[in-house]
Amino acid sequence: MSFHHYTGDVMKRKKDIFKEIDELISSVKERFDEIFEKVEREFTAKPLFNVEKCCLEPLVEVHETEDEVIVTADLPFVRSKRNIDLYIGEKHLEIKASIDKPITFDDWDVLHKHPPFKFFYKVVDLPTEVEAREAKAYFRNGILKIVIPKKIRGFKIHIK
Amino acid sequence: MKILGEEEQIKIIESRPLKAKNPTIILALPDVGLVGVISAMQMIESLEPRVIGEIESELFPPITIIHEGKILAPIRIYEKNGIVIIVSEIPIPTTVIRPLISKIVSWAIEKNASLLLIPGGTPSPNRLEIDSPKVFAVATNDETLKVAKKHGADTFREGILVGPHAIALMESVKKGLNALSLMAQSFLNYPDPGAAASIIEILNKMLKTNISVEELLKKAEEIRVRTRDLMRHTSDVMRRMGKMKEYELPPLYR
Repeated sequence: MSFHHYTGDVMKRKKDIFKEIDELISSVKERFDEIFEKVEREFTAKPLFNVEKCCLEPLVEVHETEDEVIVTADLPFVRSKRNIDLYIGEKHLEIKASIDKPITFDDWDVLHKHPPFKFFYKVVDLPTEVEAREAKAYFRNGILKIVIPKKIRGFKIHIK
Repeated sequence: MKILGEEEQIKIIESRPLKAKNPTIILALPDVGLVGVISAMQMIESLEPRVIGEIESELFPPITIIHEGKILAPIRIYEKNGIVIIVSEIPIPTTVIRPLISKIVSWAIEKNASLLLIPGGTPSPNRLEIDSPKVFAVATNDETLKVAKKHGADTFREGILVGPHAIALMESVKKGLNALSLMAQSFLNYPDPGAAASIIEILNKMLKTNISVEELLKKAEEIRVRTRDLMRHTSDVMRRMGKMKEYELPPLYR
C-alpha cells in the first residue's frame, strides 16, 4: 500500500472506525444478552415440570475435566437403559427417559391439571465443543452418566 | 431505637414446653444430598414426635408450608422421648447460617442438651459406585467420637467442612457444647436417601431407636422426585458458600 493511498483513505477509515465501534458495541451487547439469558435460565426458579407435555425436568449436573465433559442426571422411577433416549449435537445433549409408573401429584393444588407425568425431559447446554460421536453413557441405580470427550483442536508441536 | 444484631433477629419460639431434661438435639438443615433433612423426615415419620416450636426470622425467605391444610413454619422443632429434632424445609441463605446456628447452639446449652447431633452428607465423587455409603464422624470431644465409632462411624481425619455443620461444630467448641457431625458419603446435588439410610442405621444404635431403614429405601425414588425443588435451591446456596472446598485437602495439618 503506497503512502498516498494510505492518507487518501484516512477519512474513510475514520468512518470505518466508528462503524467498527458500533459493530463492536452491538456484538458485546449480543454476547451479554446471551450470557444473561443463560444465567437467567440457570437461576430463575422455573418449575421442574411441564403439565402440558406431561414431563418432569430431572436434576442434572455438568462438570468438566481437562479433556471431558461429564453430564449426570437423577432419574428415579426409570427402570432400565432401554427407557432412555439420548441425542447429542455440538452444543446440546437431549435426555428423554420414560417413567416406569406415571407420577401424579393429586394433593398438590398449585397444579391446575393433574396429569400423570410419564417421562423426564431435559436439554442440557454443553459448556464447550465436544466430540459428539465418541460420547459414552452409563446408567446405574437411577443415575445416568454421560462422558463426552472435548474437541481439542490442533497439531503436535515439536520441541526444539 | 436499638438496632438488632442478626442473631437477635432470629427467634426460637417454644409453643409447648420442652419435656426432656438433657435432650439429644438433632439439627437437620438442607445441605449435601439433603441427607440430614431426609434422615430427619424419616425419624419424624417413624417416631411421630409432636411439634414443640419453630424458628422464625425476618432474615428467612417469606415462606409458609401448608400440609394437609395445616399451616406449618418451614423450620420446626419436634420432641419425643428425649430426642429433639430441628428440621428445615427451606435452604438457609448463606448469610443467615452463622447467626441461626449460633442461636441454636445457645438454645441447646440453655436446655442442657447432652448432645447436638448434625446428620448430613459428605460429597463423594464416586458415589455412583458405592452401594452402602460409609459414615464419617467429627466430634467436639473424644468421648462422643468413640461412641460414634463404636456404632459404625469412621473418623473424618482430614478435610475441609463448609456449611451448617462446619459452623455448628465451631460454635459448639466455642460455647462448650457436646456436638457430633455424622456425614454419609453422598451425591452433592442429588437427594440421597441411600446416604440417609446409612445415617439412620447409626442413629438407631446410638439413640436406641427403631427407625425403619427398609421403609426409607422403599420410598427412595418418591423422595428423589419430591425433593427436587429443595435440592435445586440448596445447590444454588451451596455454590454460593463455596461447598466445592469440601473436595479440597487442607493446606496445614498441624
